[in-house]
Amino acid sequence: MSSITNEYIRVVKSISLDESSKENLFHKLTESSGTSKYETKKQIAVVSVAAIAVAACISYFVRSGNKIR
Amino acid sequence: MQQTVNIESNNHIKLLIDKYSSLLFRISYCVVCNKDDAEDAVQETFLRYLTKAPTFINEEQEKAWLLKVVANISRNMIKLRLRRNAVSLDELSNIGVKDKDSEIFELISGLPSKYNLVLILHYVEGYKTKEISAILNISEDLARKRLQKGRELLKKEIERCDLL
Repeated sequence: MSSITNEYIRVVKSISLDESSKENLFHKLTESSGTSKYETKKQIAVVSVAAIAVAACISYFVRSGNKIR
Repeated sequence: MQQTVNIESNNHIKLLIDKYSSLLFRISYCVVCNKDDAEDAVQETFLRYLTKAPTFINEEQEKAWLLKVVANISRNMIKLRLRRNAVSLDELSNIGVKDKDSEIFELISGLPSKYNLVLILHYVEGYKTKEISAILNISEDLARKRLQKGRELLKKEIERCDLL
């Protein structure tokens, strides 16, 4: 294995989660709600896109209605 | 009875965290380059494990499942972002990376995540290309190409910065 890959392995392996973060993780997982920020952000993103799409459709139909008149 | 179940499930969670949290965090961090996001990815991975409760033939299969989930979540996280995070040097020391290695880590984090994931799974975790293709849900040929390309990019960047 080359020295480059050895360095890569060494540096990546040094990354770890400290004990206080592990404790924090344990508490989050044992809480009743347990929803992660990632899941919340994803849900917000989905709702936002849906809201924009609905607003665009309504705007289109309103403008189409105005043109016919 | 309820208390016994809670203690047992808490013990199970503790065991999971002790066994896999650093590994999953390491993989996620190399993709998302942010401690909070990487911790969130790990939390979400364990939540899915606990809610779906998949059954595994052995520990290797369990580990591969967790790696697959954290890799997917981490890749989705960077898709949701508008721009890529710059690596914070202060944060690196908090996650175990020594100051002298910060330049090398910046190069590692600069590699596109599709190459980083393959490099980590192969060189750090010891998976073969066939296993990597199953974890990342790509063809074996693509896994091999990404590994080769990842190695070339890494070598080019390290030589360019004259770090070794």
